Amino acid sequence: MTTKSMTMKLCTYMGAIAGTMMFVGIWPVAHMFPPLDPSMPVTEVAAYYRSHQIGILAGAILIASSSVLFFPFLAAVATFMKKIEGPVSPLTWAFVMVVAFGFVTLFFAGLIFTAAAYRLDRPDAVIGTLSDIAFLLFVMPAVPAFVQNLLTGFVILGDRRPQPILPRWLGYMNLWTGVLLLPGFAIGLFKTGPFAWNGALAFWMPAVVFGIWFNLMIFAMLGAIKRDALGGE
Amino acid sequence: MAASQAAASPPRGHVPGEEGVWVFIGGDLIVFAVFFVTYALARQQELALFESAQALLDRRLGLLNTLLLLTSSLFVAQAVAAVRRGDARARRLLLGAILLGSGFVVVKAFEYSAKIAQGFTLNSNSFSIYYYMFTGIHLVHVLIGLGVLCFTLSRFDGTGRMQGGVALIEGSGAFWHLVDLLWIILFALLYLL
Repeated sequence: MTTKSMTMKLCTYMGAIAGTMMFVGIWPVAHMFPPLDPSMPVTEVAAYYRSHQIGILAGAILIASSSVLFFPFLAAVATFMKKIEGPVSPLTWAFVMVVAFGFVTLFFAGLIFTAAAYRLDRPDAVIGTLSDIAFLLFVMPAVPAFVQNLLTGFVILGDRRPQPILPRWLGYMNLWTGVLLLPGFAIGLFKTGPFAWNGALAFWMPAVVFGIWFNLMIFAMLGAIKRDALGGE
Repeated sequence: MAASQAAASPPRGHVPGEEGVWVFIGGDLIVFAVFFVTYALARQQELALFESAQALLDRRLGLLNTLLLLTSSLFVAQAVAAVRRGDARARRLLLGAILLGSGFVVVKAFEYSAKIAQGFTLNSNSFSIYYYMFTGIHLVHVLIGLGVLCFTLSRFDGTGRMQGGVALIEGSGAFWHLVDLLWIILFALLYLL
């Protein structure tokens, strides 16, 4: 195995570590999974932060740190895309820019969860506002993620090689994931029902699909690294 | 290329388009199945509200759109058949399908604006949320489908023949039939039941 494919492998695994960290942070540590009900009165939201302070602060550290670790994984995806597109690679550049702001929201979500739980003698309304911002930052990046998935899908399907760098089904899988994230666009409009930020269609379905997409990406990328798809032409 | 052999005589057990298209279509069907189950559960909880709100929808416009999409689907199916036998009319059939599909978008725009003018907006009641979100997400599918059909249309050469075999038009046709199928279910669920 060459050094390069070793680096690619490590970057790919970094995605699995980042995903696990984010999930552990938001779920068993911060107890924010599923998200707090958006129709919950601010007094109850503030009370929730007061009774779960340590967990939320610790979970926020994991969430913010995971944000950084996603980038080596995304860089590995971009490396594959660059290889497919070749020297003229507008879609790869677009991907790099979109993920740069799409995944940084995760860092800010962690930061604002921290701010919300940091001083609990603040008025309820302030804690409630900070909590809203943190959840919006957590769920609304479905918008850049939609574009990111479409770009990945188009590049993979645009591969004209007899043996494609990444399998074509992965291209379609990316398009499908992108379409599925669409309901995340509208969470600002709803406080209850399936399209609210804790709803079946705006939260649960994208969350499950994101999990599937993530694992299949890692699986397919490791496969491509194993058969040295990046080496030679 | 394997696709051009398929163009001559589709072998038995031939999967239209490339296999990956069906990954996408299968995935999309699962998603909409989840949508429909969610809707059915919500409707059961507030049956009276849903029934009175559904009565406000314009069934004629819904039916018109159903006919537009069904006819458009028929045109696409004819276009696929024409490409398979190397018939130069394929291009005009595909153009007809695109025009009919665009008609769907225009009717939908009129329907939305009429509903909004009547005060039936996104957050009016729990039915209106489903109505706007489901038809909105479906409309995004229609627009993507139209984009795909336009791309396919651009692949015809000067003589009206398809470049690169039959797989492209089969795949985009399959997606267009999916859009049609989903609308028929949506029409039945939202307008008729």
